[in-house]
Amino acid sequence: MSSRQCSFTIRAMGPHTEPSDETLAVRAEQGDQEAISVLVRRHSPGLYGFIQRYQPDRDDADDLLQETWIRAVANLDRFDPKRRFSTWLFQIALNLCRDRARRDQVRSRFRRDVQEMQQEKTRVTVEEKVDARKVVRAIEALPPQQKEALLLRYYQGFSEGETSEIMGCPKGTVKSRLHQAVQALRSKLGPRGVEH
Amino acid sequence: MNVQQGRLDCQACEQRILSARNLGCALLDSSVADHIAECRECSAFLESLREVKPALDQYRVLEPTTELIETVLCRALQQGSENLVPERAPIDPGLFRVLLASLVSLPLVILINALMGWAFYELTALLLPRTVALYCVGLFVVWASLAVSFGYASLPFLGALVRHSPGRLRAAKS
Repeated sequence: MSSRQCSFTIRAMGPHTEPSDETLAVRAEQGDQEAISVLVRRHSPGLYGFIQRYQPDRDDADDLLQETWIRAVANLDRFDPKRRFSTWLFQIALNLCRDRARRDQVRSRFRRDVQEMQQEKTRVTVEEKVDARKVVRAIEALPPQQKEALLLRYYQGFSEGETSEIMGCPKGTVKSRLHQAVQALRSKLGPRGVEH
Repeated sequence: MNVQQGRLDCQACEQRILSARNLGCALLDSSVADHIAECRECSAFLESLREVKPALDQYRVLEPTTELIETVLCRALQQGSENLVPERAPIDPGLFRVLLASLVSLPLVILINALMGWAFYELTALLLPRTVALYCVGLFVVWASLAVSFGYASLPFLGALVRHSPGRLRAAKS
């Protein structure tokens, strides 16, 4: 708790002239549209990346990004400025992703066209394309909680404490899920990607 | 960074491993290397991650398009404006003066009504039996009380009407 408060103070009084997320959230709650605009522009890329990895379908990802922001803005009065705004925002996104995944269980889980488009846009080699698809399949095949721990810890860079807050589980559980996910990916993807 | 007695704990070590762009660089940090040498769990994690990291880093995602951001922004701002509850208007000084004047004059209004009631009773008592006169005065008191109450209760509404049509009020004055 104290480290959270400390980090909040540092962010609020740091050398950056831009206001912190938490300050903007308070202003947004009071009806400051500029604050909402800054928050949306600041967090949408990271949030969209997380949603895309959770839900590779492009249309679903677009919908979920919109739903996340609408829900966040609608519930700004419930946001506690002592917490990190990004943690709170990703918590909303994760809940929506979980709901959507539950609804989509009957639909095919392997929707890779979007991923192919992504790889084409980023102009990767054919070999990389194949590897990327393998990675997508391997991550998709992980149990949901392991996948969440991996996405939040590895790709989004949240700390163990923040991830536990977002996922709603103890820190130790986050750690074990992440380790299990990495271990599972290692066995699926093999030693091909060893760094030299 | 969590450091216990000058050494990294598992949590801090894992954080450094995860945030290292190159896992070789993570080991260049002596505190990580020391911890890895002693902790089998962190060592195994580093080894596993070292194998899958190149593959994980290939999983790239698209940036949201400008159109998407604009759509999100539009809907978020719309939601933001729906959240706003209209603020309570401050008390108008004009209305406040009217209310004050009417409250100050209230004892006088009551006195006048009481005198009228007494005079009405005297008059009816001359013409009608005493019981009927009392009944008539009672009716008078009830109606007078209602009139005064409604008169005072209507003051805020009249004040609101005046506040919402300042132009018409000025036009009437000129």
